[in-house]
Amino acid sequence: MKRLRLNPISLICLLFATAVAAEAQPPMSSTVTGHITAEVINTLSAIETSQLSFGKFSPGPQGGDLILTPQNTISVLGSVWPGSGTHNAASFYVTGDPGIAYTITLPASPVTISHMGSARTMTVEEWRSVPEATPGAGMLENGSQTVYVGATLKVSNLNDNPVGIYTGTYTITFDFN
Amino acid sequence: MKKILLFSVMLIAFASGIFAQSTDTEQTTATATIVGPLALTKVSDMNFGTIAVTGTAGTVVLGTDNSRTAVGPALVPPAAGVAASFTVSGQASRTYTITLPANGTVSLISGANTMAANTFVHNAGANPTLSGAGAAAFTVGATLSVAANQAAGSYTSANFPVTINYN
Repeated sequence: MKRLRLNPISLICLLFATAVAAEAQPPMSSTVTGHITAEVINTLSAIETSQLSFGKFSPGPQGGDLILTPQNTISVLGSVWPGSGTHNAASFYVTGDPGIAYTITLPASPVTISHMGSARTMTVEEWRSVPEATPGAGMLENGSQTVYVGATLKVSNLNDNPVGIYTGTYTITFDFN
Repeated sequence: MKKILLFSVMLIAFASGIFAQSTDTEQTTATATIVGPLALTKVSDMNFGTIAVTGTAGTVVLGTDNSRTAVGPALVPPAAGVAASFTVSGQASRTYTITLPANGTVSLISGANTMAANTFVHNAGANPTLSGAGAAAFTVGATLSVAANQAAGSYTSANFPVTINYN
């Protein structure tokens, strides 16, 4: 009966504490679930539907400018006389997914066009477009849009720009911002 | 009174069976450690944003900082990437481990078309640790595989688990 001297209450406390410690073990981990989304769209494509052409003209003694707007109207500054023949603003047909905005990038510096058969050149500057070449200005309302491009041709006098055909290439970029 | 005394004797016999040689019960109770519950909460799901496909297969890597890096397919606005983000609460200053989906287990689906998401990464460092206040937060990125001319559409994955454990 000597063992009865051990305090029963402290033993009960011991058992209780052990039970609490055991219950505290389960929340050792926690799991949540999530998901991933992504939107896949088609890339832009563009084809040139009309080449930029300033038509025929005659330079005067001082030279001057031929201004061709994206709306395909032509005007002159200085001593240049428009002649017969067809001028054309450039046009591009851009396609992609409906409702996508895009950005048109025009040549930033003058583009040189060269005389066939000589080293004579003219420059094409002040590129303009409809829609404008500002970020996100292009919009594929129904999955397509036609972009019109104009520019200004800098013409020198007849000595520097003899009669003939002048050609060159330029780069226009259609891109998602 | 005699019956009560008998009950006490039985209790002691049972307890001494567990703690066979222990006679210092106070020392034993001092070893119990109660751990605060560990809880993980999702703040946002992952979104790779809008991806414009090309004729070249490639990948889009979504960083834990929401950045997107593409090889092959082009990226487009307006949708930017969103890394999945989580908050953790638990025992102050405890370290924990994060278990992300294994490669080959998560696919994004749009109709009959799929894209695999692999290489899940988090930004909680090599030894994720709860703060002194028992809080932590981390974000999760992944790498999306995009096929050449992947069909356009809205892709969504099934739910996948993210698990944390105390070390």
